[in-house]
Amino acid sequence: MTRAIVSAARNLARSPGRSLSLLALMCAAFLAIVLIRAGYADMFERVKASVAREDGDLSFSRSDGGESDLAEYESLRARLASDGRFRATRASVPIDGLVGLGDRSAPASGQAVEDSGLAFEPAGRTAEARIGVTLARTLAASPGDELTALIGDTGYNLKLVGSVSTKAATLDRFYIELPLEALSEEGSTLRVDRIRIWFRDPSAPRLEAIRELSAWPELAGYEPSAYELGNTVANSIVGVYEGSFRVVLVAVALATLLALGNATLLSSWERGPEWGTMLALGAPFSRVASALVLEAFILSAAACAAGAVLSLAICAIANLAGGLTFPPPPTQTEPVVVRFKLEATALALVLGLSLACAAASALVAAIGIKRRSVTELLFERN
Amino acid sequence: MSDAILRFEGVTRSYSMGESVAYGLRSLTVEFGEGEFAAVVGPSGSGKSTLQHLGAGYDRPSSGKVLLMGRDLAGYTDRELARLRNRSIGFVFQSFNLLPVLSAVENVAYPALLYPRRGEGRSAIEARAIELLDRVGLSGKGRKRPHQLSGGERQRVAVARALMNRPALVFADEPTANLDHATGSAVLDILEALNAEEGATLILATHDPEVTKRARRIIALKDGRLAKDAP
Repeated sequence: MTRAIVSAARNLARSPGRSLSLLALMCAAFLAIVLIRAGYADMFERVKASVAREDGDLSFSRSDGGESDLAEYESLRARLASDGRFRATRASVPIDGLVGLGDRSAPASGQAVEDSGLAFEPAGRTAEARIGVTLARTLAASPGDELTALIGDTGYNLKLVGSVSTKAATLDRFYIELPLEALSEEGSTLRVDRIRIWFRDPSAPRLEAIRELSAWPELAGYEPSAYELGNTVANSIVGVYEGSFRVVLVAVALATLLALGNATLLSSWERGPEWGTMLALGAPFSRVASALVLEAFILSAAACAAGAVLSLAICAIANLAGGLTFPPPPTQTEPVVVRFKLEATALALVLGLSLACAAASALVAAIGIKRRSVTELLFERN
Repeated sequence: MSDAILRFEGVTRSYSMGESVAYGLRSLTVEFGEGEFAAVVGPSGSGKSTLQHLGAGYDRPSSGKVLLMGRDLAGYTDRELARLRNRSIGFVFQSFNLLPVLSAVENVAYPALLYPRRGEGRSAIEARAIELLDRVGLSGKGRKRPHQLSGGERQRVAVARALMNRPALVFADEPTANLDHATGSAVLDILEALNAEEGATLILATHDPEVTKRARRIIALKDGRLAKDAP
C-alpha cells in the first residue's frame, strides 16, 4: 500500500502544474463551502438566540378573533408564576389607531407589549413608543420627538424612543409599539393575542410543556409554538438560508466534480500508453482502477488538508478582527457582522464530499480505460 | 517444426474508419513452434504489430482464432488473460514503455510482483531483477528512473522486464529501431541468448536486416496477408 501511495504521489508530481491547479481548485471549493457554512452557523446561532430572547421559549398566539382579556391573562400569569418552572411571561395586545407629528398623521397598527422596557406616565397619558422605520420617515419623526396618537378611543402623548425594522418590510409603514401598561385602563376590552413564556431552565423540553399548557383553560384557543418545533417565522427564515446553502453546496460540489472528472479523464487519456503497459504486463484492471482512485484520493486529501488549515486560519483571523462586516440589508439600519463558527461536521461533510467526487471521477476515467483494448491504450498518443 | 505454441487460424483484424474499413490482418493462418526465433517483416502497415498484439492477447481478432498453447484466446476471461500475459508472454515495445515513476529495478520486478509465486518474497524478486539488469549490462543503474537512462539503456531495461517471469513466448516490436547499431546488436544478443538458453519462442517484428539475418524463420506480411514464410 505504501508503495502504491508513493507511486501515486510520484505520478501526481509528474504534472505539477495540473496537480497544483486541481489542488487549488478543490481547496477553493473546500474553503467556499466551509466558510459559507461557518458564516451561516454564526448567523443561525444568533437568530436562534434572538428568537429565544424576543419570542420566548414558548409562544401562544391566537388569530381567531376570540376573546381573552387582561383579567384572564393575569390569572394565567399568576398560575405560571406559582408553577416554579417559568421565569417570565409577556403578553401582547393588538392595537390600531392614528399617530401624528405636527401637521402629518398616518394610520398605525401594532402591539402593546407587557414589560417592553417602554415607560408610561398615567398622569399625562404619556407613553414611550417605537414605530416602524418607514412610518418614522412618513412622519419625518426621529427619536426624542413627541407625537400624538389616538389608539382605540383614547388619546396619548407619545415620546418616540426609536424606530424598528420588523420581519416584514410592509409592516414598517404602520408599525407601532407601546407599553401594555398604557392600555391597562381599557381593562376587559383588551384582547390578548400573544403570550410569550420563558423557562427558568433554557434547556427544558418544549414539547412536553406545550402539551401540558395547551390543556390549561386559560390558554384554550391559543396556538402554541416554539423555535425547536420549527414553526416560527425566524425558523422559516433560517430554513431559507439553509436551503440556499445547500444549493451552494451542490453547485460547488458539481463544479468540483466536473473539473476533477475532466482533469482525471484527460489525464487518463494522456496516460493511455502507461495504463496499456500495466495491462500488457498482466496487471488486472482492478489495479489500474485503484491506481486512478488512489491518485484522485491523494489529491483530494491534500486539497482538504490545505483547505482545513486555510479555513481555520481565515476563521481565526476574521474572528480576531471582530468578524466580517456587511452593509445593512434592505429595511435594516444595522450592518451585519458575521463571525465564523467552524463546525467539525461541516469539515467532515466536505471531506466526505471531496473524496466522493474523487472516487466518482476516477471511476469515470476507469470505465473509459476498461472500454479500450490494451492495443488502443498503448497507441493512444502514437 | 516443433509443437505450435501460437497459432493463427484465418485471423482477420479490421478497423472501421468512418465509412471505410482498414485491415490489420486478412485471413492469416500461421503457427509458431516452441523455441522458434522468427522475424516478421514487411512494410509499415503490413500487419506486423497487429500480429504481435493479437498473439499477446492485447487485442481481439474481428474473425478467426488465435490459439495460445492450444487454447483459443477468445475463451479466456479478462482476469485469466491478464494472468496468462503475465506468466507466459514477454513483450519488448519499440518505444520501451517503461513505467516512468518506477526505477529500473522496480520496472523489471513489476511483472513478478503482480502475481508473486509461492514462497517468492519481494526481496527475492528484486534480487532477480538486479541479476537481469546485470545480464543486460546495466549493473549499478537499478535505482535510476527511465528519464535518467539513455534510449539503449531503457530498451535493455525493457528486455530485462520481458524476461522477468521466464515467459515461454517473447514478442519484440522493432526492438532495435530506436537504438544505434552497437546497442541494437547487444539487445539482439540478449534475446538470442534467451532463445538459445531458455528455449523461449521469439517473434520479432522488424525492418532491421541484422535481425532478419539472425532469425531462423522469416515471415513476410503484405497488406495483412502472408506474403512469404521461409526459414
